[in-house]
Amino acid sequence: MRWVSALALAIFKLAHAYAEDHDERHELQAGQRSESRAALIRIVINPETRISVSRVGQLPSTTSCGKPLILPVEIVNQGFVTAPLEASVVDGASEDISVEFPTQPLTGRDEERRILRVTLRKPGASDITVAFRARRGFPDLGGRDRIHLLLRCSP
Amino acid sequence: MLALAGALGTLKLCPALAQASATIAAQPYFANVKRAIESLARLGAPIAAEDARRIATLERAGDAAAVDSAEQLLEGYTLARLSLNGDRSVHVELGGARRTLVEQGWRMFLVRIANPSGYTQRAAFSTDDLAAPARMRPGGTGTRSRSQRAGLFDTVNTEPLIARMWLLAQLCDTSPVLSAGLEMPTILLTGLPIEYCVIQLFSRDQGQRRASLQFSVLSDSDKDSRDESAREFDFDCLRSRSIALGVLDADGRACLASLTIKDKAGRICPPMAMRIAPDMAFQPQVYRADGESVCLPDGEYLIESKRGPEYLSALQTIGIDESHTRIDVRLQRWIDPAKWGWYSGDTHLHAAGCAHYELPTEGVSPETMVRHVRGEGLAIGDVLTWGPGYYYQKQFFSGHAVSPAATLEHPKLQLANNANWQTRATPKDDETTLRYDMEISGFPSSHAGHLVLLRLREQSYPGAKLIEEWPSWNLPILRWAKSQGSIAGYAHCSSGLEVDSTELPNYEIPAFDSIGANECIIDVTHGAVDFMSGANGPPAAELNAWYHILNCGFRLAMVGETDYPCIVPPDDGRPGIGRSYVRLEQRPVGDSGYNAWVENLQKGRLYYGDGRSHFLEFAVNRRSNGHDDLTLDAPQPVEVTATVAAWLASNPSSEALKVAKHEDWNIEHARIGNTREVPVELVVNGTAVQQLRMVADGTPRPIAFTAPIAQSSWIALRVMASAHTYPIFVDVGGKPIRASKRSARWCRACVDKLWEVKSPFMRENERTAAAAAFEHARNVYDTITGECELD
Repeated sequence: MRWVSALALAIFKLAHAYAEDHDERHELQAGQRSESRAALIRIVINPETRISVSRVGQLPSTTSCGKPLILPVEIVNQGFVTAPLEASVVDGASEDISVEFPTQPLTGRDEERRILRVTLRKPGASDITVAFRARRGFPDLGGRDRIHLLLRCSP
Repeated sequence: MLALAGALGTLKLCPALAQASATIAAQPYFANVKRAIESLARLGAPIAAEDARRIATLERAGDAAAVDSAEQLLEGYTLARLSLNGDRSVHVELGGARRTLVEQGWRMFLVRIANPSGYTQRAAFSTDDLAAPARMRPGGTGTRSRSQRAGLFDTVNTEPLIARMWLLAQLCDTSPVLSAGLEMPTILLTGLPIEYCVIQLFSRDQGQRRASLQFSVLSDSDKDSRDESAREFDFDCLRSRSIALGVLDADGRACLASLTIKDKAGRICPPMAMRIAPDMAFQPQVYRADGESVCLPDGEYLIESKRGPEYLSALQTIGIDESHTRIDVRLQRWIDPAKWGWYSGDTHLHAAGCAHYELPTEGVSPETMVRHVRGEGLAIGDVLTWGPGYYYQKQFFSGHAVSPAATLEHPKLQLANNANWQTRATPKDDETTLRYDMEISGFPSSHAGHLVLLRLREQSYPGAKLIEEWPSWNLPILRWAKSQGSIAGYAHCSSGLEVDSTELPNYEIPAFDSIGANECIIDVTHGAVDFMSGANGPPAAELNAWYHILNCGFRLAMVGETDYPCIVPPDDGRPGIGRSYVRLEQRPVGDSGYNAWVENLQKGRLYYGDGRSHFLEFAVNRRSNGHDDLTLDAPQPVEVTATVAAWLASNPSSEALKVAKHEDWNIEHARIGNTREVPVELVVNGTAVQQLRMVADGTPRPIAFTAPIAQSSWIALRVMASAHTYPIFVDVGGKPIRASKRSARWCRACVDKLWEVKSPFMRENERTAAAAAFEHARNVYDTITGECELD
């Protein structure tokens, strides 16, 4: 019986690994497709590394609760910054809302794309503020380093 | 609708408001309301404190009743209620706010937008003859554009255009779209059933006035197509008086100072919104000279006056009416370092380019800059032209020190705008000197760190007509600058050099992922760099690289800078937040004075910091810094003596603590517990070896240390996060300073890291020369490592 259990375990692990890999690839492909889509958010890092964020496209009217909403982000980097660009929810951050943003450092190139993933868990409308900051960079004085997103999810 | 609301039994609440509020989710509603209230506060027109507290309570309640109560409260601040109906028609109604404007001032109101259908188009709210006089904006539509142009209509004579306009309306937090060929400021509707935005109204005139305000919603597909509705509003425009100002320095002589004026409601006067230079939208203060004026309506005002960190901030309450039309300010100093021969300067100021200049102008003139620099009591202000604004601002470079009259740079606009204040010279004007020079920021080499080039004779790099044609690494630029007698260094040195450790010294290798003193570590081995700049970043990150470089035996100054107004905290936007004090025989005036100031800075006759701590005397065995090295035949103890003064308020105000929170260099960070004492530290070869406590009550106090010196060393004093001296170098037995193998190894490792991170940004045809320069630096640090006796 032991070899049967071992075989079952091996098959389970293989299937699990395939599923994970498949999910990962699927996610990656979805991400790549999203990156190539028109950006919804534009981040400009000026030569003094100040960050300003603006919305440049229409947000989806609604999404499924618990499923990440993929928002393509265009980064215009005038400051050659190669620090990681971090995103965080300002105020109102709760277990009902999570934000994911790639943590790898910027390339320093003048333009690059990233994906902001926002997951809402509570049905209905949520107004969230997401702030962006180059790690250890200077915050913006006029509040331009943040963007307000009104998002809705349904179960 | 009225009957329906009545039937629902919504007491006291406007029926239209109640009808909408019943269907709105509280979280997004209050998030939007909070932003609108924050915008009002940022513009210097906060809602009443009690109302702000009540909104916060209602937000916590977060239910439909809370939304209703908030709607009722906000009605008193609402100028107009706009409705966007299901058929896309729009409608404008009067809000409940008193429609009181101020002659020559801005007033802020809320605008409520009811949008039950959840449209998310762009919307505009404007006067029917909206224009934006006295405003410049970035040219071109691309985000990369760095050129500038005037934003007025294309006409030669702008005065008649402006003279017709008595009212300006501007929505806050707008983004422009092209509509009918014109750039129109719009807001993007969120789709919330109710949302608030902030509108600012400027009245040029006094008395009863009427204007038509128009609400437009732009079509998604065709920005030239819109639905719109207009309504006439009657306004009562309060008369403003021209209030004469008397501004006297501590010595009784007339001068220019910083004034922050608030009315009883806490509103900043003149309002911060849409100020015309020399008054800036990002500063609560205005700078005024003795004999000049401000425009204020009748009422009671709180006035704060100061003139940089050497002065005490003074508060006074004054009532303005028919018989009281004058404000007198008498400044009080707590210290005058010039009496000890120390003259302050800020080597990093900008007159254009930072986003903060989008309103009211994209760049200001020397006449405006000198007003700000004088108002902060600085002897020297280096105004640096940089990438954004380069082509416009380079016209002000003359290769000479200047001290222009602080006149209005837009007199015709001021006159057409009925702003009748006249500028006045003061006997102290000559005490402040400007020099226009350059910061290499926004240039192809900026990845390698931003260079500050002082005392240039020529500002165009040979063969480069455009910014894009400049070198893609720094050493060629430094050599070009040095060849013309410039004094050159690195700006905001900590940027990209911050590591997890705040120990000094520490040996973590920075990521070099930003715009600080990156290539400095290479360039110093080529003798091409004179200083690093600090006092605007985390102290440990600023000092660590400097200490390691000094430990390798290089002579490099650290100067204080602000990078005004790019790196200033939100509550303290002023020149001279970081500053250098340079010792001179006499006050620096004109070219000869400026030359003496920068030459002594280069020699190290300086200390730098936030201007709240001062090393008035500093010597080792009676040898001062910036002079010849102290030579010792053999290891022995030395006597370190100094006269130090510092100022900490006994009971700092909440505003002062808030400012300190946003400033890396602020003496509040040095305060020991709840005392009025700060630590003065003796630093030998980068390590704080002794410390004493000193009362920071402004009294100059003599201090002394005895320190054993075992090898050639550098010795400095510091009040961490407030002031630091340039070192005194001690030569023991004729040997160069080789203080630490680990410092040399740190520098060597940084060269490798820098090449890895920065060389991809260099042009291919420059990379060979750069590689050779980096290799030279590796060899130098390897040699120094071998020459160090101590780890």
